[in-house]
Amino acid sequence: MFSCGSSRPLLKSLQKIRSQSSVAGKKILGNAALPPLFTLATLRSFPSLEPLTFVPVPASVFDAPLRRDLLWKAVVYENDNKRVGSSNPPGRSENGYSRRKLLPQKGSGKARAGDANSPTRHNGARALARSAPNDYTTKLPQKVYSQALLNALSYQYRRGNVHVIGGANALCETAEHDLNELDVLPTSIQEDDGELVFEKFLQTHGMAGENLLFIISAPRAGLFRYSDPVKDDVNIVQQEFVDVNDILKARRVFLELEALEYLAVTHTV
Amino acid sequence: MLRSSSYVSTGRFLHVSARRSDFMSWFKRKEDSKSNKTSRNTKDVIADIESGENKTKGSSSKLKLTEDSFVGEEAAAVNHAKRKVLVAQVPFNKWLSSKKVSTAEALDQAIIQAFSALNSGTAMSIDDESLAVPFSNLVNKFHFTKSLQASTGVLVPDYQLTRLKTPLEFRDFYLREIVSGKLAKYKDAEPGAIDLDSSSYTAETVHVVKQVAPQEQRKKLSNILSEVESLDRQNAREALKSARRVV
Repeated sequence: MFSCGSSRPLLKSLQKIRSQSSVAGKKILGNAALPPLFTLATLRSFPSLEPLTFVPVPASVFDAPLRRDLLWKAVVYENDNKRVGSSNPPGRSENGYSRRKLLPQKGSGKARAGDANSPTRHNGARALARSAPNDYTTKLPQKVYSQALLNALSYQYRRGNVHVIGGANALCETAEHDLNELDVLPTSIQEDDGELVFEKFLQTHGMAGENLLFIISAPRAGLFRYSDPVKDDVNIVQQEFVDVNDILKARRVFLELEALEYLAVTHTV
Repeated sequence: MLRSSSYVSTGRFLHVSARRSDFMSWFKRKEDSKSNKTSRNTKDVIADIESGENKTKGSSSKLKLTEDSFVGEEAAAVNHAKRKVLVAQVPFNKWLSSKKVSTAEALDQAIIQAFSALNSGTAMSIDDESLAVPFSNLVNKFHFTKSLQASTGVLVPDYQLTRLKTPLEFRDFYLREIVSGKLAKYKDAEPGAIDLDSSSYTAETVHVVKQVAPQEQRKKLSNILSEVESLDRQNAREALKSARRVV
């Protein structure tokens, strides 16, 4: 590329820059600290939320730096895909007028005109007609969406709104009336008082009237049944169907450990 | 399917009423019931109505029901109270103190208690140097944080649990976030934070007027406006009546 003679100093300086940059990449700055790779989550029992142990969660899942741009894109993408339009304007083939040419091509002294269905005419058809249901769907790269979902989880985690439910390798025993999954059971076989248990849970933790999200790994019949009186505030979602919107709108997020593992694995970029 | 007359006549259906041989009697009965009614003169009927003797269905006066007319409590309030009792009776694992820590002294006590439980009951003060040493392992940290949360009645976010490394750092966090009243109803850092109550003053001469909630204010305003409107309407009606009398 470079000829000998006048360009040799340039070549040397380029080589120097290259070697310096490669060295700088390996060496860590004196006062720089690597960000932690893991963050802690407390495994809790339900409905008392008693801590059972700590689990390390990758920082990319629970402590990712906030990316509002990604959250914005994911929310717009989800809302676009939820839209269904019922607009049904007629096209020029569907509009009711005749196909007859309104004027002869030449000799009338007026501008050229086609038939009365032309979109340029008053009472004409719509240029870009469509038929219901209208499609407003947009696309988003999978990587962007996955990153946004983990970012939403991280945002809620940093605000202290995420509670992980599970009992794997617990340091304490699960109490008598508690479960290691997001389910509600009546206090005894004879009494069907699961609703009271759920109400007690809401009252004890001061969550009555708050928007709660439950991310479950398998269908939980008790939770569905006994949270029915407050169904406007409670959003129960299976792990496969969690949206960024769901996570961001919730005041508190309860997720099972299995669901967390599923989200972490499926959405790791 | 073909239906012959013989098929129909073989059996009677259940929904068919009893057979009447003298159906002409129906007309007769109808005629008889007509003749029983005595017709009155229309003028008499009008006079009765105007004098108020014969009260028709529409003119019957309505009962004015006030709250004093009823005995007992409202059904909704009774149900609510019953429900409250039932919820209170539900067995629940109460590991978290229902009272949140509010003073620095109580917080120090809770920290010392949680830390001494880890180190086989060594008595200490909050100035002890061992409280500034990071936790030796995660199991110790877990037991300390659980005990601290249980006694202070506050769920510490996992994000903070990860970052706080020593008991003294936990103390700083509690002082900054909880004891300072940051999470309380009235934030000290904001204007209008002073929440006075009648319980704040024991003297009889001091009467605390509580701040009225905007919802109550709106309700009262709409009541006043509707009353004013009805009074205006009544005044206008009376003015019209008096004007007619003058004319």
